[in-house]
Amino acid sequence: MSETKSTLNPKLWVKTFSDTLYRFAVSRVSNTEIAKDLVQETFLAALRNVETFKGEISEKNWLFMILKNKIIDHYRKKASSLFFELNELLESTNPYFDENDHWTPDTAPRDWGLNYSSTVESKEFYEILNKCMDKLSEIMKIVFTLKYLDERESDEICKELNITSSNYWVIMHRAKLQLRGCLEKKWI
Amino acid sequence: MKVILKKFMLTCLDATMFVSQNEEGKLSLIDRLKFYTHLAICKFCRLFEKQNKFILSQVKHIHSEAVLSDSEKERLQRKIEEYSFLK
Repeated sequence: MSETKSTLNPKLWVKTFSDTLYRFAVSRVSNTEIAKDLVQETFLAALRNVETFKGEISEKNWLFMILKNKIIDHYRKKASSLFFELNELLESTNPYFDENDHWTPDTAPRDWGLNYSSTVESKEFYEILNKCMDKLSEIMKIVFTLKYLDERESDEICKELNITSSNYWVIMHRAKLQLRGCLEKKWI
Repeated sequence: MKVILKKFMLTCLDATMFVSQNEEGKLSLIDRLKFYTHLAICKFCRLFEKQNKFILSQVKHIHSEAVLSDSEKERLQRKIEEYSFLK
C-alpha cells in the first residue's frame, strides 16, 4: 500500500468527475433534473466538508460516498410519500396469478429460447431493459435499484426506507414479476 | 396423505416469492425443500427462476451514456469557484 494520501482539488471536480457522478445518479433516480441537483448538492456538500477529508480514500470514492448518501436521502424523502403507493400494492391482488395462486395463461413464463447463463450484449436489449425498469412504480424501482444496482442487504434497505421485511418481499416479488413480463413482451 | 401433500405443496405465487428469499439465503430448510420440490414439477416457475437470474446478471451491466451539457458544467464550475472564493 502506498503511503501517499489523496488530496482534494475542487477546481477540477467538474472536469474530472461530473459526468461519472451524473451517470451514476441518473441510473438511480431516472430523472435528469433530480440527478443534476444531486450532483450539484454533492459538490457543495463536499466543499463544506473539505476539512473532514483525511485522504484515506481517493477523491473520487469520497465524492461517490457523498453522492450515495444524497441518493439515499432522496429515496427516504420519496419513500415517506410512497405510503399510498405501497398500501395500494399490498392491498391489491397479485395480477400475475389466478384465484388458486397459479400462473394464468397470459402471465405464465414462456421459454425465451436462449442460454440463461450467458449475457446479451445488444444495445437494443439494454434499451428495453431500461424502459422496463422505468415502468416499475417508484417504490419498486427504489427497492430493486438498492438491491441489485447498489447491492445492499435487504435488512439494510428495510431500515433505510422504514418498511417491514414482509413489505420488502412483496415489493421485490412484484418488481421481478413485472420486469420479467415486460421483457418477455417487448424483447422476445 | 392428501392433506399432508397439500401442506407441502407451494403455490406458484409462493414459489416465485421464495425465489428472492432463496437468493438471499433466507429460506428455512423446510421451505427450501418445498421450493425445490415445486421447481422440479413446475416448468413455469423453473423458467421464472432462470429468467430472473438472467435479468439480474444483465442489470449489473446497465450503464448510462448520459453526459452533462457544457453549460451545466460551466454553471457547476462557477458554483464551486464562488464557494471557494467566499471561503
